Amino acid sequence: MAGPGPSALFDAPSAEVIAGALVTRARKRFTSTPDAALAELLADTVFYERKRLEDGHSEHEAEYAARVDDAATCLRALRRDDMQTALLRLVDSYAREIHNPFSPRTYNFATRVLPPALTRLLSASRGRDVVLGPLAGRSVDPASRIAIAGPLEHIADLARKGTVILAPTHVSNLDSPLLGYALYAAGLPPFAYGAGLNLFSNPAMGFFMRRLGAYTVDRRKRNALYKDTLKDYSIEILRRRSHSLFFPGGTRSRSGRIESRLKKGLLGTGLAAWQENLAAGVERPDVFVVPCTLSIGVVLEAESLIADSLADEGKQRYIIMDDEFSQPRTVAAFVRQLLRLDARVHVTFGQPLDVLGNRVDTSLRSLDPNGQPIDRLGYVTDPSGLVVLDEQRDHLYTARLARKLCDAYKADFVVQSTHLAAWAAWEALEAQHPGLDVFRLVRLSADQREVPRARVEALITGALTALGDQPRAGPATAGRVLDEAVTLFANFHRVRALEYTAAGGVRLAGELTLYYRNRMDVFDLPGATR
Amino acid sequence: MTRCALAGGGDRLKAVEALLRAAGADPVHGAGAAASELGADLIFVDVEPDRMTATLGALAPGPRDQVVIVSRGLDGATGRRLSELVEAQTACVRVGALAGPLLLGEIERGAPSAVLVASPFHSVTQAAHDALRSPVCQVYRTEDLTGTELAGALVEVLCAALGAARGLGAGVGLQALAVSRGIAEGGQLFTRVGGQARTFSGLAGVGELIAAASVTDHPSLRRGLALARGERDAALVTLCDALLKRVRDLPITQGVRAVANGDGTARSVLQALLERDPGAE
Repeated sequence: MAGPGPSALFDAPSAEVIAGALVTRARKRFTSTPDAALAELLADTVFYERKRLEDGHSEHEAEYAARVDDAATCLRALRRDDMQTALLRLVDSYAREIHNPFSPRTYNFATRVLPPALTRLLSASRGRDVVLGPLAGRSVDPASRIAIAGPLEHIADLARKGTVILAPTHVSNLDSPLLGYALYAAGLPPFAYGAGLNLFSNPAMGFFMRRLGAYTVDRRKRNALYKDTLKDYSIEILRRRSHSLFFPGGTRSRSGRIESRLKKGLLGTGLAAWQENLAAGVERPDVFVVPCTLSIGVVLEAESLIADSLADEGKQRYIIMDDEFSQPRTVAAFVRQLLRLDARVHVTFGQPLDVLGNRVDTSLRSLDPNGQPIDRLGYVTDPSGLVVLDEQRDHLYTARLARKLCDAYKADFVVQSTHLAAWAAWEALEAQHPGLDVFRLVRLSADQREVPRARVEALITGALTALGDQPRAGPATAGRVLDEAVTLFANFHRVRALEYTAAGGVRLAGELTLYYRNRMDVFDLPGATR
Repeated sequence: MTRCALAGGGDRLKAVEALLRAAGADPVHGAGAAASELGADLIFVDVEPDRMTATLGALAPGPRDQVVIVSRGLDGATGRRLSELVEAQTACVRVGALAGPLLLGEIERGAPSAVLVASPFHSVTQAAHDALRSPVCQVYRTEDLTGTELAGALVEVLCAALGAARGLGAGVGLQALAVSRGIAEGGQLFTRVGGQARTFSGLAGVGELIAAASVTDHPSLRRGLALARGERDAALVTLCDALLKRVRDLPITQGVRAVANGDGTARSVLQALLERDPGAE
């Protein structure tokens, strides 16, 4: 099952060309930007970046730091020409940092030795071990590690006839290699992917970077100019027919919940690229969006993530550098366990959508909620076919796409024994300690965190019925679901999310159990207290 | 010139038509045609909530269309707002709602009036403004579609309550109490379900209430008069249920529901409401 040829990103234009293109875009935007707003853009950059750079920066940021200083200087005299020049030089810096497929950093990591376990995962999963299941019938070979499902042929066809944005849920930093692998195994072309700078601290990412054509995203940069440049970059590469992958949730889910509120900045670039394509009259102007729902039975970084989620407001961190993923040995051990046990990883590609979130059929037509074909051009053109620009309207269109993606994440999520058992145990715990909120519950002592096994099983049974035909993996009866969950939890994490006690009960871990329980939040399940 | 089409019937739509003509537009009656045949920039829809699904099926508004809901009320089956039905059942995304007293008699006489058009899409509110604005009609705009639709639904109930009070022979004092408690109830609803509180205190809520309170013959008041006579009103029960599903604690709505469902006479329910402990204001 050889993958298809490289996507456009591998014939990528040079940093020069891209930087030029992004500077042109910025310049065009600035023509309708009043002086005060330009000054604001500069001030915003200086505010965020100067402090960060002063705290210490590496060699290769020296030139950028100088440009930030220049920007600060411009703020004294506020002459439009100077301000614009300073801003465009910053855009140029950003462009070159983002689009750097052959940067020394990338090259170094790509040539390092992968941890043996990860190699085995990827090589062992070629051919025999991977089952590509149709969306409807979800029978997975029990020996397989990664189950990939979805309308793969349809997606591959869309990728040939248009440009595709893949929008996956985000759970773990292992999602990237996982997705890179899944795309390969599914016969889909590689996707451009904004790899967070912090990911470079883990040496095991070479494979996915070759596969995914990663560009770099520096999440430490919070200034509006950088974010605008990133969006422009995304539009630019989509227009050059590079399929793209980004996590609309922005970052890994801290609480364990499935994403319900998405960041719409990058998500809106598909709509922008489509309109530009239409206005330019190019062939194959369409941009499609494919949701992708990951379900991982055990999550490597669960402990760090939930701890961060529960941390005091203000102490929560957008970028976590020191979690389980940052230690190669921890990752290797985790992946080894994944292979040893029957831990399931499910990658579900959803029904393809247009940039407003309508379903798209195999003839590339958008469909209304009743399945009738519609002409999506009507959303952005006037009766004569001219594209009508309306940013305010576009924000709302993208918000709609986001809602449809969340619907898909919920519909396609594969419920596993760990999620179900954690949810049931947590329900039982809440019922046992009425009136205690989440923060008090996670701080209960060990003996207070024990619940009767029968109770947990009864709740699981109720949930199984309520879930109906929600995709599921694992045993079909409550007792065996609980057994499987306890076994998996015993073999991963320092702390056991669920374990059996001598007295025949079930003990929860607290935070960690909550993490797995939260994945079930989107479903309306009959609880203990209701 | 904004090309407008009208789908459905009813007094509110007639009022809209009169306003459009006063502004120099020449609206087209849809008469069951599909939106694609109408070629309109704006389609005003006014049908009873329980006929909305069928109407949308025939109209089939698509990507290019902009729909403005003139009907008041909520979907009986699901309790959803009518704009949500458009979103759920069609490919049309640009939806708005029209609120305001829309008193046909006054409008036909050329008396000045005002309407509120609500939509998160500026293109919709702008088009509606351009179509309706005239020397006899002021057009207010808001992005708060949720609030406007909920206000319209609650106002329907509160007008029925007011009508019932009148039908029982309530004096001005009691009617004033009914209106002000109704406004408080609106605040209750809004703080709980989102939508801006300001929307209810504007044209879509209080404005309509005051208009209803000031006239003797208002369609929603007539409903209330019927309640006072002991008649039941199934549609009103459904509407109250849809509101109560969002917020349980709406005394007037609960009262109206009881009377409309035949669970108590208007008099007894009114008495019970008066006997409630007012609590802190």
